[in-house]
Amino acid sequence: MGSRQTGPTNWTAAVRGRLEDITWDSLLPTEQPVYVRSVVYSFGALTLGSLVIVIASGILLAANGPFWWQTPGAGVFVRGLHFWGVQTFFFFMILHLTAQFFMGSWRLGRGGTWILGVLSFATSVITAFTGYLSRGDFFSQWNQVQSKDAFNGAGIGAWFNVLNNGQIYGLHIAVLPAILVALVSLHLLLVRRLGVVPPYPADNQLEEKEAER
Amino acid sequence: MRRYETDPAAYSQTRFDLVKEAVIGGGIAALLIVAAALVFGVPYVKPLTIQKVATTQPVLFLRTAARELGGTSTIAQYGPPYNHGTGSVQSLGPLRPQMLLGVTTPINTSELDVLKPLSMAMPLDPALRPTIALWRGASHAQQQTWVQAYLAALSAATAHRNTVHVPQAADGPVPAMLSALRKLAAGGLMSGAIDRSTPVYGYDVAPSLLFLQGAALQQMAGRYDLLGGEWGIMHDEYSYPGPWWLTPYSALYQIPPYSTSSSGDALAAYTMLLALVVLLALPFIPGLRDLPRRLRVYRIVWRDWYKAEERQAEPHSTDTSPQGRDAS
Repeated sequence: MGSRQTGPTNWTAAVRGRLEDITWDSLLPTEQPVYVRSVVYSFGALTLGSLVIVIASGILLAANGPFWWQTPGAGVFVRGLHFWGVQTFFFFMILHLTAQFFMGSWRLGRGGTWILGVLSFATSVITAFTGYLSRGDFFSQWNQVQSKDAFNGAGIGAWFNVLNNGQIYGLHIAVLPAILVALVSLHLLLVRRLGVVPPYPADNQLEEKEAER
Repeated sequence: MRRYETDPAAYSQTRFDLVKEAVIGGGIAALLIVAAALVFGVPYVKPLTIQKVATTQPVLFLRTAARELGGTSTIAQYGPPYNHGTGSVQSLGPLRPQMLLGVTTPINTSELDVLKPLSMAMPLDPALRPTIALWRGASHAQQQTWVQAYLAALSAATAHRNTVHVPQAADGPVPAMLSALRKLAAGGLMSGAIDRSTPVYGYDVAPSLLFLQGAALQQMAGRYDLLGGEWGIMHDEYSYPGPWWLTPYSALYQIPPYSTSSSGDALAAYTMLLALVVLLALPFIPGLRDLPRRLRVYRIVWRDWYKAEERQAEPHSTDTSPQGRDAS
């Protein structure tokens, strides 16, 4: 196995070993355990579906520029898709996060999957916030002047300047989406790699810790 | 007692089509989003401009400009990252994170908001030259006396249409300077004059937003119920949903000490950061990580599984291994 090799190529071999584990079969499974049977399992897919529309509409908005999305017509409609896409994205993501909490989905070695999910949520909040600041209407102005005190007070306003449209727009359309897509991709890879967490033991079953021994 | 399997592969499997799942998930999301965009549209309220304030609220404009000129406005005394004031510096106990990086966006309101735009207007209005020279030649104490006298007179000012009558006072060159500034603003040139942090491309709107950030924007936000005490960040203009996912953050601003402390913003920001750390570390915090097991909400999610499990566990059952069951 590649990851067992020694010498100067050790880390590259380790990476290759990890990548070799990823196959089309693991990415596109044809089977799931029988317990994967609830509407709860569709929240993640609905979140991803919303994200795809948010990104697609966002690309159209960025390609045409601020005047387009602030002028009645096609631009305003696409901004509507972006706006409502963000609403459904957060709606399904928070349902997904809440459900995974109640299912204790970090169990049995899935702590990393949970952390990547929470980081995706936090990144989404900041990304959406920079979007609100970039809209270019009164709500943007109001949030800019209101939030500056929070960022300044927290000590990061010197770098994260919410009154600098250039910086905030760049963060919104490039930097933060790139981070979000990377986090979500790693989250999905871990879900596929580790499989869907089994239910808590039934009342008549051994405790998890005993079973793991 | 039956064994608990920790490996998903150890359970019996059902057929699964990820592509179908993605198409359905994407399809439902797309349907909802397109329908909402068509039916409800999207919020938009024109931004407030300095020009609008100068023409519709001339006394407010003059008061704001006078405070910026005299260095008594909130922004003039703010502190980092704008200047070395202390008026808006927040602290967390003995710590003042706001001071860490110092002044990175220097703003001298007197120069930026009044003297710089007037200097730019000088070629159009040569009479400004001796007026500004008189201001610059005066001592700081004299300048303050003029500004305070002007502000006192302004409280008795009357505005009719686009004309403001300010009673006579010992306010030196201030009335002439601010009257000229208001003309510049009413013509729509002031924001362009002050938002010039970069030589050519104007990305930074800090100067004009900081000029508007007091009463002008507050009054307009009040008309749309967007003030902090009204959970302003939670809803958009009109009745559109806003960033409602910030509910916990916005809730902090409704309760002491966040609602009463002058460092409420910093306190709220670090409280949310702490909450994020707890959420990240949830799988590793004894007690909290076992909460879902105790709450037993998972029994609803996996109710079919547990029913099958209990049936299998009944006496006379022939096969009790996970592999022996197939719920498909």
